Amino acid sequence: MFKFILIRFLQVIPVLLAIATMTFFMVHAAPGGPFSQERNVRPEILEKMNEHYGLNDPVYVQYWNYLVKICPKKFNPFKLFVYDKSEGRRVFNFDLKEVFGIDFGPSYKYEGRTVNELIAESFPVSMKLGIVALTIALFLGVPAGIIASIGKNTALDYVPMSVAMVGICLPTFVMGPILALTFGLWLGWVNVSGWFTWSDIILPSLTLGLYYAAYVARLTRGGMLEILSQDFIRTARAKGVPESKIIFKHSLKGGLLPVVSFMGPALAGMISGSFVIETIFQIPGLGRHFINSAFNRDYTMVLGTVLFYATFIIIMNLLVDVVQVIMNPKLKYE
Amino acid sequence: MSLESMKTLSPQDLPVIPIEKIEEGSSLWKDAWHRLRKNHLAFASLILFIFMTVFCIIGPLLSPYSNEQQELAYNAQSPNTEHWLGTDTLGRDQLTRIMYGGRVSLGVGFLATAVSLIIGVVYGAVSGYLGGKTDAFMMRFVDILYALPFTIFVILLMVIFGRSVILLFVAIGAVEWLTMARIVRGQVLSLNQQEYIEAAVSLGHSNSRIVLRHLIPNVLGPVIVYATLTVPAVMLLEAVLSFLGLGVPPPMSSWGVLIKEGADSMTVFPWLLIAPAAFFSATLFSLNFLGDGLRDALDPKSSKD
Repeated sequence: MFKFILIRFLQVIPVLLAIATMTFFMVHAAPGGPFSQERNVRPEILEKMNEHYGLNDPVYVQYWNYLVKICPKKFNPFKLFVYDKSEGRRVFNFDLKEVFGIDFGPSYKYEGRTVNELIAESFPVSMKLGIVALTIALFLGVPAGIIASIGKNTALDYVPMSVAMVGICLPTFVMGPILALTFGLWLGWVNVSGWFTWSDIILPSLTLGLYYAAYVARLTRGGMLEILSQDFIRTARAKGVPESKIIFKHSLKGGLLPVVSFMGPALAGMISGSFVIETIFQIPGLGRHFINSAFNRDYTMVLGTVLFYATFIIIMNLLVDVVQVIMNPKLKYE
Repeated sequence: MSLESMKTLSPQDLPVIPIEKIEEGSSLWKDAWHRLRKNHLAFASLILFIFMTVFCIIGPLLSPYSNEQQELAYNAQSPNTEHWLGTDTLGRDQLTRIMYGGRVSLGVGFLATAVSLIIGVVYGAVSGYLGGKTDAFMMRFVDILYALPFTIFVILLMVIFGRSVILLFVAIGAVEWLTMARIVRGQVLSLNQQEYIEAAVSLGHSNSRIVLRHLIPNVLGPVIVYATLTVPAVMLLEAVLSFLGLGVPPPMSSWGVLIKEGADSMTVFPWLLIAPAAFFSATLFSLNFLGDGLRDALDPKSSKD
């Protein structure tokens, strides 16, 4: 097991290097420098700014400097939680520089801010949204899928599965405005947009969660049906094992395998979904920062965010792989 | 029958077998068509989808309004007899805009799917056919790509190289081929065991000829099914990009752009959101059901239950 994790972990390094290289040169191939949009900048000042950010160096020097800066140099888990005086308790602190020694450099557009700071302040917002959405997806999707698989080809199957199909065909950017319109504007239960009170998380996470709940329900149903048709289930039934035990003890672990392998793509999807959700509901998360920095040609911010997302997704995929192998030992030998 | 008559026997004298009596071999495609016809939901989806496509292609020609024509005096009208779905905030006829937007959305959907189809089929076929270490390496590469956040890269591409329709469908196609490659590879691996491939190899045909002439035609079924399911996925990605303002460049509009505009003004003019959203969702719905139905029809063994 340890060897498996180690090998998978070592494979991550060249992938990340390739992503860093590709993104770096893509961003540098872009027409126009980071300051070319600013008006009324005198040539001397522009020159000074380029000098200050090291943009006059040859590309390979810039590339090497960047790689050195973003390379993790330490790991200090104690800095993950710091005491916040205003809150009066220890809070989650996601400063990549303090924890890992990763420095994405200064933001070109937000003056005096570093990319690290921007990620540290906006990522927890996105993460909170993602975790709530994932919880909704699993808590709605898995039971719906189990019920559908028990009542196969009856109303218990058709109703949840039709609802799931509707959910899949209603993309987040349709569902979001519709939910905001209904519950925010017409019924007035929650705010239409913003990120101020606790209830502001309800609509965005529901929008994101329902979409994936639909997928999870379909996958659970498929996985459960496959297990329920196997011989050992027939044997268990013949022995007189109660149906609840057959479902929860004998089938669920195997039946949920497709759901577990879906978690990797789901996380990636949730991140790109968060771009849309955070734009619709005006949430100050990393997704909105990414889109804004992409529009503003804030190169360091774009590079930093892409690398951060890629690393995050790759590590999550690694975790999913490990969980999969734990749940299904057959996979270890492949 | 006497000897004399034998001499004068001509083809016309041969007994004629009535054509109905010949037992026709029912081809895979005919079988599939019959199964699809019996699946009401999938067949209705097919009809809805054809209707939607024809509607978007022909509709603008019949409409008295043009896509761009603005009548500021008639802005943001609710649906009425002159403008069936109302007008947008610039006084453009909403139904006409939906039809034009549909052309772009469906067009990008099909072109990007075609791009992903070509890459995926060739990659998967080559990988599965060559087998061994090459296959392992090529599939490992696909596994790695699977783990990457591709939407982000498409966004990056659109930002760096500017918004253009061609870049849009090439970029989307370039990221959507992975599953296709896997499916084709699996099919090719199982086909590799068949005798007729062995025969082709022993006849000395080149690798490329075997891949192109024997393997690809035989994997067409699963490819068609998956391509049908790729179109809605691509349309969704395009709509997400357009919604974020990174999709098709103005003055072009797609359903994603219209939904975005509708969402911006939904508090005052909700119909501007509801109509394009309904068209978009209905199209996704029909394509997904059609894909499911095609899967059941083309491969009855792997039917969903």
